[in-house]
Amino acid sequence: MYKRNEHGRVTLANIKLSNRWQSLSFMSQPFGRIFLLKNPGLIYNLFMFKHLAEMVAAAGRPAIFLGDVFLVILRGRIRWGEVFKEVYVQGVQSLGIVMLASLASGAVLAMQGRVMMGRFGAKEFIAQLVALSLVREMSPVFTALVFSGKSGAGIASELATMSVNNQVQATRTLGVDPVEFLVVPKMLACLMVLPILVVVSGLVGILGGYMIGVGEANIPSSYYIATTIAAVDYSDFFCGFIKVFFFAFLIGWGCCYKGFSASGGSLGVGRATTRAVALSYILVIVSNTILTKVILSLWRN
Amino acid sequence: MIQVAGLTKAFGGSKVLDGVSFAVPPGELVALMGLSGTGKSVLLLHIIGLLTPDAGTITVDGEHITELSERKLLAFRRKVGYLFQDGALYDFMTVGENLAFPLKEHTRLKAADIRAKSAAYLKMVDLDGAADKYPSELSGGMRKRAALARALITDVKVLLCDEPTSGLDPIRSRDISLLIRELSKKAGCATVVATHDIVNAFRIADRAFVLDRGRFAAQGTEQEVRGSADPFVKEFLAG
Repeated sequence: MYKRNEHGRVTLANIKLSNRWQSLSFMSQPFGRIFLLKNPGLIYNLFMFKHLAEMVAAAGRPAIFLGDVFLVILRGRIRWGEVFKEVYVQGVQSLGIVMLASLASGAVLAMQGRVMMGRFGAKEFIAQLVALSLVREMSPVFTALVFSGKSGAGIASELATMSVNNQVQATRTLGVDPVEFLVVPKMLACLMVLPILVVVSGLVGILGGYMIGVGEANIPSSYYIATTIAAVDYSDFFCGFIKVFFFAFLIGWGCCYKGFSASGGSLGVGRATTRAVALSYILVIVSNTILTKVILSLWRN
Repeated sequence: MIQVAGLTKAFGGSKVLDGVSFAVPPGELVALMGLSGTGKSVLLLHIIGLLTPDAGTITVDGEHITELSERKLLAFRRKVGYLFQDGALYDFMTVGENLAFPLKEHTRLKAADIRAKSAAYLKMVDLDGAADKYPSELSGGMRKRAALARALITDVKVLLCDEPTSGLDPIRSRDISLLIRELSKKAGCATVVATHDIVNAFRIADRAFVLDRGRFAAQGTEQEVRGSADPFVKEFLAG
């Protein structure tokens, strides 16, 4: 684990400093403890500075990446042709699954509502329950999660494949900024597609609830529609809708960054894609909690 | 055209290039030889400004690469063609679109002229008829030829080729090597070919450099390199 150099001094050359367990094992040995006493700075290097530096670097890289994205946008170097191509691709990729998931969630919500509210003799409130739940919370979050898994994964895997196959590097050698050509269109497309999908999701979800409410709970169709319209205020809509732009931004950023910084062949592509989707899920869930708290604090009623 | 002086680069404490100096005038083709992982690609990436040296200067067509901002580097790279080991053609574009891409980006040619120029370059690399195919539909050799056409299509002044013959059979290796020589001479480019394919390197190069432990162990014409007394060069050339 340790050896003497040409001057007869003990060095840590054989220790992989990034491996904390190996370092700990070395330090637990008698010789390791003496070595540590003679080199107190090593503790700082091994356990503090190195990991702190790694943490700062890990946080800094996505921030620098985002800075590059903003720089391209601020310079007005947006390739709208590429943006609309991406809008089409991402929209087509996710539309079917979003509609299916929304229809099912609206229907399930109505089924559960029928049982739960039936206990209190409030079956006729199913329409309000479905509409408000979907518009305020479920559609934005659900759609964002589905979008992360479908389009987000697509973005990350496409960029990761290009990175490991030198296509990103080739873009630079061709005198083109890869952030401008490959990343910005994808991020802007996320900001355009997700809000549309959320609106579609809300409408389809309400339709799912309507099918159960009218078909199974025997609520009159006109009553169901009228109560749905009456229940949903514009503030309910914006309460949910405003969050969608944050979700779209975070998904776009996370997935583009993970894909763009991928390395290590096909294994790296898989790893980047998985991490991108997991990161997007976490970002959506955490940001949703914070945003909901902020929105409810600002507009309690 | 290309002037490299005292180029030094280390990764994590290990010196990959140690004060490398050389010059390539316009129209000359030099081969950069050495074992895998000895820094040939690193040297090429420095010349195109994708890596920053720890020390030393690189001047290409009168521009000091190390002093250029990222924006200016992008503009500078329009003068340089880079042939990647695996071609690095865009998967989502057809071969014709791949060739048209740099023309659309950097010239004001009309769509018809871009199509015509792309077709002419594809013909030059014997790929006429492949314009509508995707890179995944081509063989390794065809992809490299298409990538060579893309690298040259903007009338570049410098051509850098990274292992152009790797993964190809001896006949295809010879063909692509001769094609690189023919096209770069025709275009009057200063060309650097990084390779460990000794036969083809000597076949096409005006001069050759052998890299070992970050320095040139031998350089010159084929005779001069073959006559080197350096033990590494002797072993490398003997195979």
